[in-house]
Amino acid sequence: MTFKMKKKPTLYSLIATKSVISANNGDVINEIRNMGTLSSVFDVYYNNDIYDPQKKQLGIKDQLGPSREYDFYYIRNNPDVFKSIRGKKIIMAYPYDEDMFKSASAVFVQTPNWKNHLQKNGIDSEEKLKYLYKTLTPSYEGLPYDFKCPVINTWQRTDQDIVDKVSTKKDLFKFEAETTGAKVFGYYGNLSKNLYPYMGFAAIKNLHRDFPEHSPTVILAGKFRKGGEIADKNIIHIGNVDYDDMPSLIDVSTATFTTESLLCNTLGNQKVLDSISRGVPVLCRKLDTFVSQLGDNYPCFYESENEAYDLAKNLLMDKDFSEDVRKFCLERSKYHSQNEVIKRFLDQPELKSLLDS
Amino acid sequence: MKKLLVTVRNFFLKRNFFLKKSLTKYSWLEIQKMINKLIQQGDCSKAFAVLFLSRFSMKNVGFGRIARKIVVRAKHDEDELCKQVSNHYFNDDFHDHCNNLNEALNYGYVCLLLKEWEKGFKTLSKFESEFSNDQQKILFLEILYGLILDYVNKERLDEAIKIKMLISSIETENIGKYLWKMNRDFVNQFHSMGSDKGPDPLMNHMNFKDFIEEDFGKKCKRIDIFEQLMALDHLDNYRNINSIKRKKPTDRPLNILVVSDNFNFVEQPCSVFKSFGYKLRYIPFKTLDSSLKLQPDIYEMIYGNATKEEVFNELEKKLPWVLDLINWCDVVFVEWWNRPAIFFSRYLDESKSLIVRLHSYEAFTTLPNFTNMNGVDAGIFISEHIREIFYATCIGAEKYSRRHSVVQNIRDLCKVVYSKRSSLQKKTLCLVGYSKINKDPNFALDILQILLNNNAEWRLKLIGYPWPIVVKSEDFDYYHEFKSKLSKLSRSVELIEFQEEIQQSLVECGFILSTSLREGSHEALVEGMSSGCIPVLRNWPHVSNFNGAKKMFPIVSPIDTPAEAAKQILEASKDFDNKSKIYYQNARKFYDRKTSGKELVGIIEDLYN
Repeated sequence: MTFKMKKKPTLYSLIATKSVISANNGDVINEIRNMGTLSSVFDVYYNNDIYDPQKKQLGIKDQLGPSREYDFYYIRNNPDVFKSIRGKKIIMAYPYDEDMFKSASAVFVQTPNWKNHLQKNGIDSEEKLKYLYKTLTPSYEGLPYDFKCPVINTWQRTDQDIVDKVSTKKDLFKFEAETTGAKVFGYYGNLSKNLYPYMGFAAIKNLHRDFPEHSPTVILAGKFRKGGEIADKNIIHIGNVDYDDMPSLIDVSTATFTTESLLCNTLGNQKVLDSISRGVPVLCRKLDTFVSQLGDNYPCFYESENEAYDLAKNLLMDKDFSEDVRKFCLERSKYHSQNEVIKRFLDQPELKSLLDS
Repeated sequence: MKKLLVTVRNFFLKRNFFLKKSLTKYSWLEIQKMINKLIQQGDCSKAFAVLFLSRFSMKNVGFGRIARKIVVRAKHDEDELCKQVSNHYFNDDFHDHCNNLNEALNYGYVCLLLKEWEKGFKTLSKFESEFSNDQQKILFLEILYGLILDYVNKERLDEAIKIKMLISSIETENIGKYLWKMNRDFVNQFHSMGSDKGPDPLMNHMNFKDFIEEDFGKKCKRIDIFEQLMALDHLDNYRNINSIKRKKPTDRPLNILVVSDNFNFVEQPCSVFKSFGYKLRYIPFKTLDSSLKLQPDIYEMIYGNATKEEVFNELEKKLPWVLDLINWCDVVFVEWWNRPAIFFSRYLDESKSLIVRLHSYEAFTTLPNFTNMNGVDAGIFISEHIREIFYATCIGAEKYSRRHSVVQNIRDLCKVVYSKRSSLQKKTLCLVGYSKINKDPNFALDILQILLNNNAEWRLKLIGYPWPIVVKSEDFDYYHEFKSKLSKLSRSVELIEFQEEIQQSLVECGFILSTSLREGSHEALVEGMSSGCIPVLRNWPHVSNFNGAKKMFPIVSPIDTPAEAAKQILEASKDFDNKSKIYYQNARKFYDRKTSGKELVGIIEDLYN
């Protein structure tokens, strides 16, 4: 299904209380990519500043909220601004705010499984939504009984800049040194104790014990969240890494990890896409989001510490296996390219009904 | 006019009168809140007026501490506020005969603010036994710290030593912080020749010149003072390798741990090490500044007196992987003579070797003075003149010169294929890096101007990052001169963005310029030569006392003025192809890694002979 429009409708976008954003943390990076997808249908303005993928920074510093009338308003996690707006309002379906859910014209999600659960299609939908929303909203007991507004999947996509970046010899040396010359199993992003892949970390610890000559090591990049500090002989924190340098850091990694949290039965995850777009395998727990991102037959899913150990060992020592996974990742990442994602985004009846409303 | 002035004065007197009257209604706590609010609003003058007018009702309590707070927060008028404090406090009914600890502490804060070290010391020392918390001890430490630097300046050595002993005897959790600040400032003062010229004064050309040309007798006297105060000999206790003999492992390759704050220039040495079969691991030293706050912190480890036991216990707890890598290695190779060099010269186990490579800027900084020189197995310098400068600026380093060598930077120059220049390319000059005074691009523009006077075909390529949008105030005049010269010559000058690989640009130029004030090895000049450019080498004025340019490039004749440079260029142009080829070949012969790589490995192998 395609839309032919003479003039795109305007969309005001805002994340929490961030009047200005730049690609410096996971949520914002995610939203900036999201704006790229939304701009296939809307003229997107981030806090009154027209979206342009070339801009290093988006938004107007001393404003918070729309400074004029827009056709649509997409507000993520700012109930005050949301309530103050009259018009067609869209929310991101996380975190949960009952009032916002009740009065939104549409809800954005980023994975098909999440959409499915919000449409109450799965037998375990209620349970999975409870898990998702209870953490930040303990009062959550279920969706409003009359919740029927369109749920639109904006998907997540690979970033062409990350795909295209060529790591020079110098870049690769720099990150080889920054990661101590170890065999890197990277966990990059939100360093929070609730999100760590503990089975994966334990597997690498055992691997380090069994094969010290290979120096398998967990490299953490990002900022420790409160209580997230960890120290071990084979866990190394290298601090923040610039977004532009991430491709080189991923390139020196044997594999990356992503969260094992059950939140990823619903929420999206950008790390997986970044990693596979560089042909670097992601070791991940078999959760719904990862299955939708990587396909059911992805060879590096694990369900236990032992399985994670075996996979990490194979990636470390079996060149053929490693090469096969690399090829698989590169092939699968095409499914998440901007063009493919926009096609799937546009091909949703809920989007059409929103635009026609 | 006179009438107007009187009216204005009366206005202020009246205003203060009403302010004073209205302040009597408030409690001291409320007044404090009011002052804090004014400070937050940036109205420091008014905050000070409120403080001053309410001082009687508060019986002196808090005056000094808050006065200091106001001045510290004031962004533009610190000097004026200090004057006001000085006038009111020392000339008014406040006095230095304090009757109790509280009064003495407040007086101490004022002394700290006004740098009245002796007055502060005399008053506070009477109440030292009554200090009951860290805040009070820290105030006293700050006063002592100012006083000791003052004594050092005035060459009152005996008194300085007494104060130092007193500082060492104060027990507080933060003592390390003050010790390192004090030690660092001793060295800054040594390099500033007694005056206060800020951190790393020798990075400034004029300061460096003055320092080098200073009377030898005076310098020796200051070194004597410095050595007595710093007492760096005690560092031997950390790591003393005098009688250590090491055996090279026979059952495995040598394990080398490469440590640096940044890895920009170490790729080539590492590739040499790998080609000799050594096994490499790395520590990015900045991880020791990580969010896992170390206690003792990195400053105490480097400038202060943190013990090996304290340091290793902390590493075991917070950065066990660092300890693991240190245990793994046979040799620590530190790139740049800065923080990691000092750290390992103190804390590395004697069974392991330590090699430090110094590039250039470090020799002009204070940091190397904190090195335990006896703990360094081998020091590597990338040029002879930098080694000599190091000996002039780093006290006690020359004593260990037998452990030091000069090894050229490791460069892979053989990959560039010689290409013959077109006639236009032969008239193209090139300067790599132009947005720093040190590179002196105005000198290059002057050369171009002289050449253009004879032939309009001459061009200059300026390659590199542009000047920042906001130029530092100290660079302002120079930058405007640059802009003005550039605008006159703009038709003949091409600005080219920074390039990771500049060889392609260089093979399109005829002459490579080195117009800098100071260089260690000037890599761009070497790269230019190896691409077939004819070098134009200025006798780098900042290091001319050490014959820096000539020692680094004995195959090139340095020039001193733009006119000399232009003359040399015109002369070389007559036989361009021949000269270009000779420099191309010589660059490979003298500056390629074939020779320097072997020398570097030789230093490691010698550790076991």
